[in-house]
Amino acid sequence: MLLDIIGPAIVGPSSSHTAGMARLGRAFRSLFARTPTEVGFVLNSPLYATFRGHGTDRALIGGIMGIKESDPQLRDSFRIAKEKGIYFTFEEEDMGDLHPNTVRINGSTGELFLSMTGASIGGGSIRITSINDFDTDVSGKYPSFVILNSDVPGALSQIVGEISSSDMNISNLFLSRVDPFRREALCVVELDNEPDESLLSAIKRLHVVKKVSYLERLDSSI
Amino acid sequence: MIMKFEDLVKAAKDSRTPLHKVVSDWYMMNTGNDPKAAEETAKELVREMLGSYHSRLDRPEKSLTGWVGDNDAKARNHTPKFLSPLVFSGVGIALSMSEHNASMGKIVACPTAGACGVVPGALLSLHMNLGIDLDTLGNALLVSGAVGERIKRRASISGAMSGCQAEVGTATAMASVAIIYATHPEEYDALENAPALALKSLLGLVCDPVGGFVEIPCVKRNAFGVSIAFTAAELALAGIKSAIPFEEVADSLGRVGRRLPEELKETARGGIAITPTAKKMVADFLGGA
Repeated sequence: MLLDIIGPAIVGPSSSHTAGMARLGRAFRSLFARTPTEVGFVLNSPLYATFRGHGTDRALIGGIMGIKESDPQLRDSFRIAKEKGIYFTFEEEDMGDLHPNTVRINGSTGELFLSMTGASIGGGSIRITSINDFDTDVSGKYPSFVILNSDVPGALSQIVGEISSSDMNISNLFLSRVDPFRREALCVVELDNEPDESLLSAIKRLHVVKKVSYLERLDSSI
Repeated sequence: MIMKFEDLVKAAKDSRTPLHKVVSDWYMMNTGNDPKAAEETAKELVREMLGSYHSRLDRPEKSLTGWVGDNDAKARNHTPKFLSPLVFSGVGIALSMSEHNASMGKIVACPTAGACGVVPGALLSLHMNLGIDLDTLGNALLVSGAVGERIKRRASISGAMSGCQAEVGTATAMASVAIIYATHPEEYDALENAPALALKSLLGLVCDPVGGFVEIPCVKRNAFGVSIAFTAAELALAGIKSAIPFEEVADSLGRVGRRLPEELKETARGGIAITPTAKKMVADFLGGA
């Protein structure tokens, strides 16, 4: 990007209906940490109305396979998905007040399942608004940990302690109580730099941590 | 620090510093990013634009709906009868980039994907017809970025927010200043006036894409944007001034955009998008796919 006005270099035709969608697909793949073999895309009605002419479908499928929004292979993503044996469907749903360009991605490998909801909010930027029914607010502009933790005193300090002991700088931190009865909170940690594998496993080992996913930085270079 | 585009031009003039250097320093003061990096990115983006143009030449594809895709070839095979070769070549390049975009080719959003043809149309035509080198064009692109950035801050560059005036309008204002900077970098009055003249001529332009797709009328509006950008640059070099300064025109764009009804802001519920012909095209596409 130049002056926030020129770029990025992306596959057309629409930064929000194509590039943002490929990015949402990549976000799903990153959080799921694998490529799903079956995936259902549920598109909010306004998005569904134009998805074929914008290549939204090809972009989502491409993103799921890790194809970037700057990669012209996006155009051929249906063929590539067929070759890989990925089964996919597209459905429409009236999502009411949600952002018009919202998509819910339900993917599975047979054993594992992940549901992610996100919106393409303009210029290729995205916002992940829910992961497995937990409300989130993640931009994908930073490498991020999405952590479901026990809502107990000191939980956050343990998580942050683990991150700072590996010399990582936190750029943004969000914490919200998601379930007062099960005493669960959701913690999103956005980092300046890509963390090592070892940090992810160290956070996983913490007693206060119930579940952790890692979201790679989704911005493309220029 | 708040600097109007006019202030940036004045700073360049008063300090005898090339305008693109002033712009990259201004960028650094706003973001903390290395000004050198902005200059390098600009040069890289110009090469990316040239690369997109060549990929399109090598492998032209129809758009996803099939509605556009052969306009660029028609323009290329035509000898202009009315426009200068420079301007007509720019018009053709804009068609090419926009059709590339509509067929899922890789383009540089400038400032958006829907308006991606105008600035490359102007820049690459200067390269191919006047032999202006790519690095000089990178500097011109940086200066055009300041024009776009100011419009974004004062108004909007999104068709859904403000109509096509914010997309092709902004791109045309950006292209007009790039044309002057690439060829007459010290014509300060012209640099200040060209984007104001260009933007004024497109105020009020609505966003009414048939079926909601970035094809009709978007592809051809990009082409017209180039011809308007060259006209604005020519008028500005002739010493013709915009009575209303650029930043006030940018404000007006925002005001007009806010008053445009939703029907005319990318929703495909107004303008040419609801003509009988458009409705039939959409029905045929959705029914046949």
